[in-house]
Amino acid sequence: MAISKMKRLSAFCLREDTDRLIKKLMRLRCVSLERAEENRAEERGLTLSPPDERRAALESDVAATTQALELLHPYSKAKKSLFSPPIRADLGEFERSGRADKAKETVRAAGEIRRRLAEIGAERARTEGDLALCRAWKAYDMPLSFTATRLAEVFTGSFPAGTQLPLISGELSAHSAMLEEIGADSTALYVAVLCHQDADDEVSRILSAHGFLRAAFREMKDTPAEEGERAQRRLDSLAEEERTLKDRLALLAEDIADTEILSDLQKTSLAALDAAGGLAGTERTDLLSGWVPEKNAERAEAVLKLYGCAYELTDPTEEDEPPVLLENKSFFSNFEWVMGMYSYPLYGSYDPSAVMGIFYILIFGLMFADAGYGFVLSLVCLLAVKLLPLGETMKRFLAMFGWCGLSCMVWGVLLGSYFGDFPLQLMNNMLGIRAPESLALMLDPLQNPMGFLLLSLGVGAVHLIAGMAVRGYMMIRRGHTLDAIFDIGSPWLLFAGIGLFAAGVSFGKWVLIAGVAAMVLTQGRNEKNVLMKLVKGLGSLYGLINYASDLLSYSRIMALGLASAVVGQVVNILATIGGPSVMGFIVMILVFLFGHLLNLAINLLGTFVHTSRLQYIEFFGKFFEDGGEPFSPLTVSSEYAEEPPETAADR
Amino acid sequence: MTFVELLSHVFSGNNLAFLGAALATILPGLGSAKGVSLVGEASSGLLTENPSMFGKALLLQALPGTQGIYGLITAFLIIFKTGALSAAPMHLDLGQGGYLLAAALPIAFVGYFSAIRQARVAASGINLIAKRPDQVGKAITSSALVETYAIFAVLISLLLVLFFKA
Repeated sequence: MAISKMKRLSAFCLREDTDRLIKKLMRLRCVSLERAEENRAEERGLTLSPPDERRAALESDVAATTQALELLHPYSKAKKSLFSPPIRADLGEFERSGRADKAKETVRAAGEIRRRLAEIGAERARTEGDLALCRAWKAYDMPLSFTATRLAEVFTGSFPAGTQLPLISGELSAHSAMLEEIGADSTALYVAVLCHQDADDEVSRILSAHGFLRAAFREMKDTPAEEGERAQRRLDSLAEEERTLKDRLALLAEDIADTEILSDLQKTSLAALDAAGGLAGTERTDLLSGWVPEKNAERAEAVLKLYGCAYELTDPTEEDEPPVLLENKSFFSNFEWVMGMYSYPLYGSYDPSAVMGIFYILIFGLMFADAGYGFVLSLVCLLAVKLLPLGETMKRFLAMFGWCGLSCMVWGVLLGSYFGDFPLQLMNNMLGIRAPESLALMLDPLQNPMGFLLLSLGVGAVHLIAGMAVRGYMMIRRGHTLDAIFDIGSPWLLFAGIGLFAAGVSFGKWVLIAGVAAMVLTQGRNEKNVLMKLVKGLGSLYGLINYASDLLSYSRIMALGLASAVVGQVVNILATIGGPSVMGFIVMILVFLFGHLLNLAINLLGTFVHTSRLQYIEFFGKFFEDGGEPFSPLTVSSEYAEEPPETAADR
Repeated sequence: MTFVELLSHVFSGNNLAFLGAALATILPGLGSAKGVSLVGEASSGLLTENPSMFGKALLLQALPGTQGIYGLITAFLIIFKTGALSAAPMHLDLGQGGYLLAAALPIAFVGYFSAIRQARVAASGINLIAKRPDQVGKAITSSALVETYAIFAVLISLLLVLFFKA
């Protein structure tokens, strides 16, 4: 439960080594580099590194590999399931052994196939259009290249379906033109019109007046029947070629793992170039400036020495804002992401993951107190963590909900909730046994809502006091012990007084008075004027209202707890409405599954959101110094392949 | 039947209680329906650009839906308390009916307005996550702040109904 100590790293290395050094550091995953613009290197007489001309080529390589993977994935037999372990590969070894070159060949071949498939697709669309046209015109027995004789002209085209052809024929006969219907489908009537050349203007005017569209036969020359056959043959040969290409893709996809590793390799190289591109340096050297966690300093130093760098590791100064790396026991690290959603703590402040984790579990469980839902939640989440090879982030996410589920179970037993009041309804309505009033060991929220409310507020009071304790701890650690006593101690004295007084303890009144006096006397201590001291001190009493409103905010624990309990009860009433019959039990099982799943889903969202909110606003508000930048070290791309652990450290 | 008789039939204690249950279902339900659709419209715009954001957008869209549930719970509790679904429904006098009607009002009104207001914050949260997907936590939290008041309202409604003595 701490924020790692960071060391500022400044190292000069020869520019010719920069790329290899950065790649080495990437494998350590414990060094972050600043871009030169951030540390004002130029003001110190250094110049920004020239842009690397390899970058554009590398970028297009990465794009090509990504495209190839997209193309190959559907053909890969090694179907990626959630259960398959990640590939292990040593990127350096992969490059040296020539597997990388083979994978590049695969990418190139896949790229060619992709282009050819696109051409085939376009040509097929065109040919299919031709074929449809030929089918519509199959009764036309003239070559399509025939459009006119010495004296006559032929119009070929279509009218919209439903056009009255005899009418048009009548009009045309006045100009000695002849209209012949070739065919018809649901959208158009296909016609050929023969007329004398002298009359073609008139004929064409009449035709267009009726919506005539000239047919576009493009470069087709022979009769439609022949052309149709030709198009069909072309389509067949295209389909054949496509099949061959897809077979080749399936063949290429057998090596998809290597292509995936290649993608990681190229992305790593690109990231290294980008990191190097952000550096500044002298004519022959680059300045690497960034951060290393103190615990990893030795490993980083070893690499820097290997490359003959001139380096120093210094403690951060006042002006620095070191990145924040959290260090928690694995159980509490599951809660880091909840805090990360709010903000990371500032470097040098306090990492509350552990304290927050304890309260998160406690409050989550109380808000969603149900043994049944808790069991389902923790079973699903913890099994997923155990059995599925998930990413680290996902694992922590699920593990956290798994532990929260256990807490729900405990509270569910205490408050007597098992899928709402399912056991009671089952006994009363289905089994014909007189059920007890309640199964609660501690208190039943529906029968004793005030007790539940007090429990909620009590947990809230402990939470708030813990928040103030963290603030006091931070003050003492920074050497402001007196401030801690005054600012945290006096309200606590006051709270104790209120508590004792309310509980009717005889000396409670005096504790309360002492608390008020402590507040009034200490809270104005930074003012110079005596009168102002008093005014500020009295004003601080008004600030107690904030504590009261914070405390009341915890009543949401009760409201959300009741909400899930009542919806659960409704589901159970509906489920057992059929009574003790075969049909009744079938209905019960269906309604039970659907209703409780729905209730679980809705309340899970609500509970998560509002438990988080109680941490962010009520708890963090007491002490949290936000705005820390998460530590993001240089790292190799591990989208598909993970480096084997033994080589990751020492090469 | 005289007008007075008609009135006394309509305004029975039981009917006042059911009016409360109806209001608790109707108003927050309307508000939630309006709210969820408002956020849904905003998130469709985001999803055309980036379909992978569906999970996060759905989370925000679901938030204004809770008021409808709070109203439903209150209504159910009123129905249980009056025994309307059981074999022996209670006969409430006007005072008792009026009590249950009053108990339903906090969630009925606060639920309606807070759902819509919360939806507006959630919809602007959709804009936030469109540009900064990692900030979904902040979008959810600021939207959840609005819900606080619906929670307070349902708390009072539930307490009043649970403390109802026939």
